[in-house]
Amino acid sequence: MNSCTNVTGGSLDGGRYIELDNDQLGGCQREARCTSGFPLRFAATYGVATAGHCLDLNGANYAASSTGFVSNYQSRDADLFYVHQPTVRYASTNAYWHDGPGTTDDDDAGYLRRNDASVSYPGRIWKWDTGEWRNITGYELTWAAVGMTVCNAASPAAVNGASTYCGEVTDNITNAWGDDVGYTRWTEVDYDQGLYHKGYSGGPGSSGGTMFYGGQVYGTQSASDVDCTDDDGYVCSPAQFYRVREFYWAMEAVTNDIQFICYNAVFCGFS
Amino acid sequence: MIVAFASACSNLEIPPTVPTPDVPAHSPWLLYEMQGRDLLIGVELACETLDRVAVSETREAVEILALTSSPADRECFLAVASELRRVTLAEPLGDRALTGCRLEEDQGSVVRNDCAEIVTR
Repeated sequence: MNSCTNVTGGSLDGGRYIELDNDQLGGCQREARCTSGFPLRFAATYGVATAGHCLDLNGANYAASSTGFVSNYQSRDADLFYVHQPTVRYASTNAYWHDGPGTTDDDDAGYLRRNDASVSYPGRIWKWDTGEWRNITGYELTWAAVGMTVCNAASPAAVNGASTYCGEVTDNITNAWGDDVGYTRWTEVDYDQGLYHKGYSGGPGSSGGTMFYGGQVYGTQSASDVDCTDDDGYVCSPAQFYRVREFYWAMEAVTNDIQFICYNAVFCGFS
Repeated sequence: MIVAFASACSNLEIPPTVPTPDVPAHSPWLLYEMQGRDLLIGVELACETLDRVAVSETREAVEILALTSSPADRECFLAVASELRRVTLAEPLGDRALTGCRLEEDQGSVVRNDCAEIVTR
């Protein structure tokens, strides 16, 4: 069995590989994978956002009735990544995915707390396509307008052939399954629109990755249509991301101590 | 289909075609444990459903294919999770190669072996 070793130093960044160890097996095993989102402060702790369903895989061990989120942190090679160990993880009723498809109160917010205080949180996203940082300047209060471009930074360790994928917003919807009733918590983005990335509909493993444009954060990657495969005569359906404002509200059900973080570790609000 | 259409519409000689093996949809897997003839693998799945694990053994190699299906018109999350399966070989692996879209970890990086033919979303 492999072993997980917590390291000191490094930073919590968006666009990194999250390896989820849900203790199906002993030791430190790669049992699921997602992507890290934006940094935040939650209940006097610091960590990184991800998709709630990433913390609830394989029929895992995570009761929806506990009270918070914790994770360990690990760095290997050039791609920093975060190892989630459920034995020290807590969950919240509203702060991560807990509803079935088609319901009107879906949430998909997850939080991984840093394990070591020496790990910094500079407020940035690693762009794999250009090999540079995108500094976070703000978080979107309203939803992304239909027709605007948003991007998702996915780690190659989490998504095969990953890069930074951009697409056009096509709709704002109630939940990840496209039901247009109730309050909109999700935004659809079509990565095919404008032929930015023909054939791409959000790669498996990209869940939790920040949706952004410029320095503005719009949400976290969440779901897509299973039918999207190929770029030859194939029609992709939009992917869905969970809006950052909903992310905040979901976590607010646990604590009022929530601060989003912008570049240089500065607290910043919605704009 | 293209060959059939050309044959019907042209007198040009059509070179014989080699049938392409019909590789079923399958997913990559990691080897977690191996004890004697027993292997514990984790099949990486996103939207797919794991139908069965097919094992082909020769004297030189053991091929393990994690055969999957993907229901149409379904939304799914973009996380990848491993589904555990135990595989029992006819004989211990020994010096034989282990193939069939096996993932291997090399200092934290995942290396995909012989996965070029894999059907992905």
